[in-house]
Amino acid sequence: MILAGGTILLLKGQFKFTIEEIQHALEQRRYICDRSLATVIFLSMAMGKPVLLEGEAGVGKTEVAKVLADVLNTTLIRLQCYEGLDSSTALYEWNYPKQILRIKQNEARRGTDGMVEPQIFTEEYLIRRPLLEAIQRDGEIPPVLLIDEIDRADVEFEAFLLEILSDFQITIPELGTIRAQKRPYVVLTSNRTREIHDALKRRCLYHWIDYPSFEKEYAIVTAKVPEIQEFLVKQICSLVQRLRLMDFYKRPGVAETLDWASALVAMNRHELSKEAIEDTLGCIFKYKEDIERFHTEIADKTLDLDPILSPDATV
Amino acid sequence: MQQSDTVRDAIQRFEYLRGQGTLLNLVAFGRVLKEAGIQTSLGRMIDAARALEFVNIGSRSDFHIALRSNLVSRKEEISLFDRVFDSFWQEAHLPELPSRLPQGFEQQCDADLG
Repeated sequence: MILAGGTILLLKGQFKFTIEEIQHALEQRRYICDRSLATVIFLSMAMGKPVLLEGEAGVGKTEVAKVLADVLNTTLIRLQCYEGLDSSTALYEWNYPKQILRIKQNEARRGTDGMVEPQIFTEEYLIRRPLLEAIQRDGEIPPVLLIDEIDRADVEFEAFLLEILSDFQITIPELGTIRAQKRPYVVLTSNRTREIHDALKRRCLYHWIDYPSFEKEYAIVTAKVPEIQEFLVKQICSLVQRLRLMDFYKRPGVAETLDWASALVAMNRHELSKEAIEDTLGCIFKYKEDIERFHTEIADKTLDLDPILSPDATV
Repeated sequence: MQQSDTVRDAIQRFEYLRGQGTLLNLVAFGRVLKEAGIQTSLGRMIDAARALEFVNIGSRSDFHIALRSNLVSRKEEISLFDRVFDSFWQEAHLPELPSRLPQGFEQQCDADLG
């Protein structure tokens, strides 16, 4: 069932929507998506299976989770992965300073409150990190749990995550076992800096998000930067598409295209020129080497901007 | 070229499982995938079968994605999966290929039609 404004209503936890409705709701949030991605999201909800989204940086993997939370009108809980991320940072920690204060307080009162230990290992002294938060949150609609850039975390963390994603329950020795009332919707993303272990992959629905086609990218820019002129969108998209065929250290993703489009609009540009490109190269390339490479390609004439810049450019 | 031969051979080898409903077709498909070099597992196959309960299997593209998202988990396997999918499920929809007509079928047809 779908409400005006594209919010999908979940009735008693039952999914009452179709693949078309998901695709439509995402598009209303200005997330242009293929039917295949909509199908995978639909299946993830229907089957209660996490989604693993892989793709180059900047193709909109993280955005999927954000938009999904908005569509479902629920909370987004994000766990950003990094090297050295451990289970206590992801799950829970005891609030030591607060516990110490309580102990001191008890001592000052000469311990009339009885045993201090049962008092300081209670929920009041627990700091909830994203995974516990996602499991413990109760509401009509479960939250969307985004585990971002899982490839940056260590293998040990992956194994730990596997356990969480199998049972959606956590045992805190001092408190007991906490089980999710409703399984959160889980989205994992990876930039493929390393291969994710097969055991974790098996738990997930897999989807590869490719760079968009010219037509799709055109639609994305028009949706996200509505004030932009049609001709400029064509120019931007054809140049970006062209650059992606070349060998850069970091090829521009959709995020870069959008940054670039917004920058050009802010500068009141209605069409590309060599100067305009030069002034905004920082939006397209994130590395000095890539900017140098771009200049070399122009100088060597292996990249020809003229067909894109000419006023009667047809794409 | 060799790859497509392997796939064709495998499709023929597991022919005996087919024509008895979607589930056995799916099992045969899993076997063919394995021969083509895509590792499947029981868990994945069960999930793939579960996924089919939720999509309209009359839509070839939804059916395709429902299987692929459960059975593939590496980008490199996607194009191989798509090729195997195409050759396998194409045949499933065309069960009466001329090469498999029983002997004397044509004469029989002629006779029936007078």
